[in-house]
Amino acid sequence: MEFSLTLVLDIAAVAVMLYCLWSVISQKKNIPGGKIGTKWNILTGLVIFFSLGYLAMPFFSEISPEVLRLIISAVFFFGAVYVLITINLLKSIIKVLVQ
Amino acid sequence: MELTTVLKKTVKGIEELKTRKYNLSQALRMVLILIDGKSDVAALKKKAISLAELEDYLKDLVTGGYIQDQNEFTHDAPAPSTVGKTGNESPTTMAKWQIVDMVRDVVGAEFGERATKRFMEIDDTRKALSKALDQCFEYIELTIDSKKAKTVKLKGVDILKKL
Repeated sequence: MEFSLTLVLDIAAVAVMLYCLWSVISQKKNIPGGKIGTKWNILTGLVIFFSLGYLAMPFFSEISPEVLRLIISAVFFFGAVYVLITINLLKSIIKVLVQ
Repeated sequence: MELTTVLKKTVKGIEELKTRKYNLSQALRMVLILIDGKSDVAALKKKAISLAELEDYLKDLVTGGYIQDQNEFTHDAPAPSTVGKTGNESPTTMAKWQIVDMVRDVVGAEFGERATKRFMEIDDTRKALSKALDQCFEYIELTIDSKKAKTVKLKGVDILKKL
């Protein structure tokens, strides 16, 4: 495997995402029910999806360009969903906290 | 009662909160809920700023054997008493206590205690009660359960409608 900046970034991305996966799963026991619980489960699902996607990066060169574009689009889309859920959750928490 | 006295619930007090066995009035129940074994009377007064009769209620609870001085090692609980059944509270105050009791019933004692403390801090006005109820709804929806939150809201609105 050739050493390159891309490889370093890929490895770093996988490491960070695996840490996120560990973090969402280990925090699950501290998460209450209600909206927070529901949204945390969705976020956990998305982190699992991203982790699998990141782990599949070494095999991207063997995937056809059409499928690769679809995967990238899916990652972008679900990434946006992730950010949206996080922002909405933070808004709800901030609203309750300031009361 | 000295301001530095720290009060704690007796076995009878804990039993009353769990079972309502002694049929304590809502006002006294609310005060009993506030007793945490850590706050002194001065701190309780700050928490229950809208409750002018707090000291009387505390004395009633001590007399009834529901609470005791933290420094007392034993307490012989007297027979079930009729303390606290004064019935001279305003309709808004009664509504406040009904809401607190209802919240405890719907979401359990742990959050009920927090809700009680919150309700004790507010004025006895319909507007303040309505606002506190909304806040309660949002907190329960966010951290406990959406259905329970809706139940609290609906029952709370029903109580407020009667005012």
